[in-house]
Amino acid sequence: MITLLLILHGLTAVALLGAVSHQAASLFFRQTTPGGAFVSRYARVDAGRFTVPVIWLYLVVFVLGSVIYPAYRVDVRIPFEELGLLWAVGLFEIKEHAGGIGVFVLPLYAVAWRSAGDPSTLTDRRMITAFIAGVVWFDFIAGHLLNNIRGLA
Amino acid sequence: MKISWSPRAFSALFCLAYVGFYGFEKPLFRYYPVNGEIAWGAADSAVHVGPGMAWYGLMASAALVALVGAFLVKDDWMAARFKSLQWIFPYGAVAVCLYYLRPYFLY
Repeated sequence: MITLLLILHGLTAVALLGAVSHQAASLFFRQTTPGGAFVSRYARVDAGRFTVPVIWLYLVVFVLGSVIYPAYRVDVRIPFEELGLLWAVGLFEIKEHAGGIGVFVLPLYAVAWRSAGDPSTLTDRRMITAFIAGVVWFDFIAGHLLNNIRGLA
Repeated sequence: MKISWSPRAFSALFCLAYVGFYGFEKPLFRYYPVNGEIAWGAADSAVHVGPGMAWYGLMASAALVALVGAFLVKDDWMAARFKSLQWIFPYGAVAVCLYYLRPYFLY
C-alpha cells in the first residue's frame, strides 16, 4: 500500500512539476512574437489557467506525502541516522518544512493570480510562483535522491 | 458586522507562526507512528514507543494562529502595507528553517 501511495505521490508530483514549470516559464520568459526557440514556445501559454490545477495538484501531492511520511520516519530515517547520513536526514527536513510552508502559501498564490492582469502585482506573482516552483522542484529532486538511497518497502 | 477573511494575512501569519513554533519546539501535538499515538502539547517522548513526529503538530499550531489572525487583519491593509513584498514571508520562513537545520550539514 505504501509503495502504491509513493508511486501516486511521485506521479502527481510530475504533473505538478510540469504545470508549475510552464506557469513560471511563462512569467519569466514569455515572448509575444510567434515562432522562436523551444523555451519561448514552452513559455507561450496562458499562465493564469495553470493556477487552479497547480493548487489542486499541490494539495494532492501534499496529502499523499503526509500519509506516507510516517513510514519514512520509521523505516527510512532511522537507518539514515544509524548510517550517519545526517545530510540525507537534513535534506528531507528541508523538503518537509518547505513543502509544509508551500501548502499554506497557496492562498497568497491564488490571490496573486486573481489579479493577473494588474502589472502592479507582477513582482509578487513572479516571486510567489517562483517560490512554489522552487519548492516543487527541490522536493521532487530531494525525494528522488532519498528514495534512491533507501526506498520505502 | 461583516466578517472578512484575508488570504494574504493567512499565508503571512502562517509563515511567521511556523518558524516561531518550530524554533521554540512547540507543536500542537506529536504523532508517534509506531503505535499511532497522538500526544498533545510538549510530549515526553520517553513515555511513548518509537520516534515522535512534530511536523503535523507544527503545521496545526501555525495554521490555528494564521486562521484566527486572518479574520482580524484586513486583506486590503495587507495588500497596501506589503505591496509587492508579500513574497518575503515564505522566502523568509524557508531561510529561517534552513538556519535551524544547519547542524545536519555542518556536523
